Amino acid sequence: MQNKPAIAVEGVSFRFADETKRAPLTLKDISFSVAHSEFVSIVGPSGCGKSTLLRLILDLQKPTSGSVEKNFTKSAMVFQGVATFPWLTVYENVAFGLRMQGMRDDTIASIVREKINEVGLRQNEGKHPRELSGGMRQRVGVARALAVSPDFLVMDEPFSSLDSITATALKNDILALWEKYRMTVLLVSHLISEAIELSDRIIVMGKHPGMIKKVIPIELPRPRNPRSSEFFKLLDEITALIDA
Amino acid sequence: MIHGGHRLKIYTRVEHVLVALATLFLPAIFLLIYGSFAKSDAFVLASGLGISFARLLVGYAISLFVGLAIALLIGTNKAGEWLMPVFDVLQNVPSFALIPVFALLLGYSNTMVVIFAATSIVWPILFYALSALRTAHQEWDEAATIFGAVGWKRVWNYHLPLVFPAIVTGSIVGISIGWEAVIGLEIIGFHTGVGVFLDSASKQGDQTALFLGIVAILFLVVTINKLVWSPLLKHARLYAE
Repeated sequence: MQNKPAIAVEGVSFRFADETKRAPLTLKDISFSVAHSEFVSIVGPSGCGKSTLLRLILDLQKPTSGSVEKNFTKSAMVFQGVATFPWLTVYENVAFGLRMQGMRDDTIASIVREKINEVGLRQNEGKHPRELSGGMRQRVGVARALAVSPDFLVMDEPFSSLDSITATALKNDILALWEKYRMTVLLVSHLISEAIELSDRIIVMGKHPGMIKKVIPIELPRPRNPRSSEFFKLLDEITALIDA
Repeated sequence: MIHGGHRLKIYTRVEHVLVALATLFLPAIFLLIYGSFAKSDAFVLASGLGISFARLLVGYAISLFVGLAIALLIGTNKAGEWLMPVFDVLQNVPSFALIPVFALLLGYSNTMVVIFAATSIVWPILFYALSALRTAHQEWDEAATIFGAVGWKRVWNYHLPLVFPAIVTGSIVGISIGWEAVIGLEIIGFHTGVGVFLDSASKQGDQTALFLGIVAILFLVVTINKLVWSPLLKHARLYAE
């Protein structure tokens, strides 16, 4: 399984269900693959179908045509918005996936505490999401995803609703956790600098219909300096691609 | 430390339980004292109220089960949308117009009044729960799917907590409609229940008994509200974002 890519998307097109069957294609002929332990970002303008593509990969929606080959054992997702369950505490939210797996309570407790510590929420495990800031809620989402030990982690604009200081801190934590666990990561972002900072490769998408414009490898050494000339060069290249 | 997804702690202190018990016994003591002063048979009233309340409770239990089951069936299933117009039409049929039908099928029996009450109570429970399922954040639904909540695990850990506040609100509305259904039907064609007590007091011109009956119902309603619905409503706030 390690010889094959973690995911291989082949000629995927997608059209939202429409009574008249005349809705335009949201995604057209998308093909790419992501290797195991690779960190790949998808960037593009709003409405280009980035989030839809993630949902097709995770079987939350079915492609109109094409296929997605999956060679991972466990996936998890960090959502853009409010996906923590309001009726559960931080601890219970993080434990959710483990409880669904039918794991023993003591095993769950040790995993959940470890993940809560890793995302810096040790003092807040008994709180409900509404008692937390946006950044803390997003950390709960990250801990919940990591708790199930995914070998394929999908993140849908996880920093978009956060202020820049919180986003930077969370970004650094995610990068450290990726370096620790080396899971395959597919990140959707509308912030190009964020994608350059984190990724091994960036898939640049265009819209109407959503399609891949170019796949750009990022070979800058980590940790990356967002003020370096190489960084700005990549930023200009990708911005020009999106604007074209 | 691991709790079920649908955790319920209503009374957290001993004082709460004591207040609840006091609220429960005060109406009974009031009825006994007032009944003896008014020379009305407090036992007849208490037993009538008990019979009516039991009918209401059984009707409510049936409504809760049926309403929740239908809401889950059609609210979590795209094919279920086809059934919506059917329930929409059914809920618009005036309950009391169905009394002759129920009387014909079941006679004026306990079963009849319970089923009749259930057909009145079920609608708010069904439609409030359905609304909660349909207006849930798409991301909650996706998170539940991705993290493995399928089958009964999904119902217990995701759908039930999701609809819990709606079920509480729907139950409060439904129970008040249910009281009307039970008492109304008892007045029309029964020999037992608080409705019969009130009807008899009215026909005999016994204003004291009439007043006593209404106060007794009020006491019971307030008691149920304080004991059950208020704590549940407070608990339901936990489920808000």
